[in-house]
Amino acid sequence: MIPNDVATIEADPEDTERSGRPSRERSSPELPGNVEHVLCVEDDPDIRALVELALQSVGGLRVTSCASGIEALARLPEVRPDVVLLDVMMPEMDGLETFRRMATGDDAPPVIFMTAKVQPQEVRRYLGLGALGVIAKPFDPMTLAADIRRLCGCP
Amino acid sequence: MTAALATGLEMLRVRFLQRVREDLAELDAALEALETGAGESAEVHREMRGILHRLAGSAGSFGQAALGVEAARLESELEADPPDRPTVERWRARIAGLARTLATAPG
Repeated sequence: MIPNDVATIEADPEDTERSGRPSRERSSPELPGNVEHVLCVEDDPDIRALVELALQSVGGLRVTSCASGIEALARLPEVRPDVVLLDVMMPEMDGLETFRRMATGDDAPPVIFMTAKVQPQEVRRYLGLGALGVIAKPFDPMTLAADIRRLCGCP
Repeated sequence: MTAALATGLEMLRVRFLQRVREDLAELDAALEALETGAGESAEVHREMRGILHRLAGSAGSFGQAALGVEAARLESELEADPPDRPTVERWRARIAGLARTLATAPG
């Protein structure tokens, strides 16, 4: 059961097993354990600016921002983030397609989806694909960095 | 919270509120286009959905939780009662209600 009123939802292997997804979509994500550099992929410039401020000033993290999935895929080899914070609903290439393409690379980064669509079946779908977790929009800028660290298994 | 962080958040909040006012004007313009026949229903629907979805997902992060909740409600309403010429007035009233949510919000 996935509650609707939580800010973050993390991967639960048992829940993923119950989702009945094809095996190629079920992969237990490896927790980074340490996060210093976040790649934020978000088409809304206001949200990008808020994520940057929240993660840099509150969380002391390094942030690289991309305005689209296409830009993120192009820059991924150069950026090499510890984790990707990925918006789901974006024009041209949405977050799910961006995730799939990132996952086909040799050095696929861990991904946390950020979305306003956090109904249980939607969250199960994201986690079933192999995401580390989901951060619900709207997010609290004061706790965003801590939420990311927790989802990444940071001590 | 440091002074620099507070200043940064306030700047982003002010910028966000300005953008919301522009969004509300775009929603009105989309309905106007629908009414006059200048805009296709599907195109207006797509534009309104994009704006309402963005507001639903962002307003709460900028201290405008009520606006975000109302935007999310209207985003759902788009599917149940799509905007077209016969529903233009109803949608105008809904967007006016959304604007009032912003006007009564703190700050």
